[in-house]
Amino acid sequence: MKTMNANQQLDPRLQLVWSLIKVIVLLYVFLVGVQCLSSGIKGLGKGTMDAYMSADMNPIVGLIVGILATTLVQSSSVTTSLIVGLVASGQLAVAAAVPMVMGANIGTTVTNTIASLAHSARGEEFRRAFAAATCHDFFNYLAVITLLPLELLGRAFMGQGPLEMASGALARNLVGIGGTTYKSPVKALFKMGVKVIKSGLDWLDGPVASIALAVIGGVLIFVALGLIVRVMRSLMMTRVERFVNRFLGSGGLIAMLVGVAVTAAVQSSSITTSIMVPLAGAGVVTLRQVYPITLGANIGTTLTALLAAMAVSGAQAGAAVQVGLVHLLFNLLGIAIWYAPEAGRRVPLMAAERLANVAAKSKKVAVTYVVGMFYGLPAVLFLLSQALG
Amino acid sequence: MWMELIDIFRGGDELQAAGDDLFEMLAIVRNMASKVRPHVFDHSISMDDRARVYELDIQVNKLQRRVRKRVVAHLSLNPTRVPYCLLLMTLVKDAERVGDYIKNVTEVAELGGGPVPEGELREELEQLIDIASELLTEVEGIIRAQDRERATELLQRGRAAGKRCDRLLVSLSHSTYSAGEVTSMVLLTRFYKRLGAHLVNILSSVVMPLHKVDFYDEAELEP
Repeated sequence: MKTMNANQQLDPRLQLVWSLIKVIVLLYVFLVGVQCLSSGIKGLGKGTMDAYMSADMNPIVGLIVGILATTLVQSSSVTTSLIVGLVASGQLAVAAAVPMVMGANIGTTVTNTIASLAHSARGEEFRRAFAAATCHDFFNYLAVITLLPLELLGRAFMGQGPLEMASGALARNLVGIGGTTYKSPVKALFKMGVKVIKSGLDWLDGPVASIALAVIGGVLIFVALGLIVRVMRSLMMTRVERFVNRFLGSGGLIAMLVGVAVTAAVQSSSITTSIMVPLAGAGVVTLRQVYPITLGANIGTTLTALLAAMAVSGAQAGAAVQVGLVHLLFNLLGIAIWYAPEAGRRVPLMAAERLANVAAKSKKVAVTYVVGMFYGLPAVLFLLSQALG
Repeated sequence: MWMELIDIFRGGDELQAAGDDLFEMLAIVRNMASKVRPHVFDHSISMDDRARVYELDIQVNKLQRRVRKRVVAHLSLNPTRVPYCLLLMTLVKDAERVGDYIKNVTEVAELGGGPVPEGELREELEQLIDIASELLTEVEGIIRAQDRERATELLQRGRAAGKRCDRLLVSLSHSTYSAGEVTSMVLLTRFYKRLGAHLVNILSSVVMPLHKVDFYDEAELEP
């Protein structure tokens, strides 16, 4: 066994240090990307995108934008970071960002649902894997169905929805907006990076340079987050393995905290939820054990938007932080409703189990569900919202 | 709770832990065999010892499931060292079977076997049991040290013992033992033959590539 165990890799401690260095560099690139995006859009001038992104923007359209954008990039972290960048530029109102953030939460679940289709060759394995994947979908849809109407009602009667109001109050306490100007602690570092990129675009005209800067910002966000995921994934796998082997029965709270920690480390809830799918398929973890990990992943992924907001300075810094907090509060409230009480917990689990039972008998149902839930339903909602004005 | 969380993030080699579980299984079956050995022929094992053997067998079964779970978790999350994972899956099955056969030895009296009198055939069976015990005593150390030379020696002894078991069964069919005595001898011969064969399988992992484990062939032995 000794020879079979010989692992021809770097010393684990050196590997850890090297990975952390890479992550710090990538985080810097990511935050510079957020700054570039917001600066680029800001450079286009106020009012350029008002027609699309004002506070009066149709919330259903916002929700659909969030869902579709996230299913396309397969990462809610990228979408929410882009939303933070847009809010920081002053072109997107926080009120309009709220449904987009909710949409991003839904869109991110497509990855693990697609991952579960890989198990379709074996009925029972697929049933378990598909249920583990779709409990995430059901939670996110249920959270949106509960909280988006509340938000819209609040907005209609009080001018602001409860999420917007609570996140605004928290953001004011955190960064002192509304009174003092927020000064980001790492602003100078990011400014330096943005300056380098801007100097490379000197040869372009005003609006073209702004568009180029925004595009570069978007690409940097996408690439940096993708690379962070890649670096951290392998580092976290042995930890997840350890958790699954030794602590899985320790209760929902531990499982949720592990979901938070793993997702915060890999900067991708899709990774956390997707690695649970084969484990559930193999029967190593049960649906009830997967569910809190999934919810923890939902919370962990909100760190990205909060990190992105760190890069923002100036008058819109508070609004950027507020968007990050909307994402966090939305998930916490969803958990309070659909996990904390046993009755609430049962709904997404039962829905996932029932759907998986049907899907295991007919794979067409599974494919129809994926296409319908993530593309068909948003399309129908969009058409309805347009028809109803 | 926080200590548990910190412990999770300490990392560690979970496959190494699975390998340690296999060694624990081998240590337990060795212990089971030593409890059973003095009572093989007269069926005089006490109820307490028998109960203990059953408890140990349950432990072996639990360890087998734990190894399987660790391997499946590892392959699902981090599909590296695949041959080692597959090897662990096959070796724990063999170790679990060794435990089963030792348990079966304690059941011979219940299956209709009577005490076995002294004689040539019993002596032969005693020698065969000693070879199986030798394999059992040494297998863990050989695997840990990946001692190809000693593994090869014991593989040869184990395979020769298997053939001797077959010859003993033929001799028993012509013996003058009573039905109960023959039943005992046949069952014991069969159980120890299978036990030895599973130990040979485990030992073959030291000298054979994964796809040939369980099919030890001296001619194909890799240099």
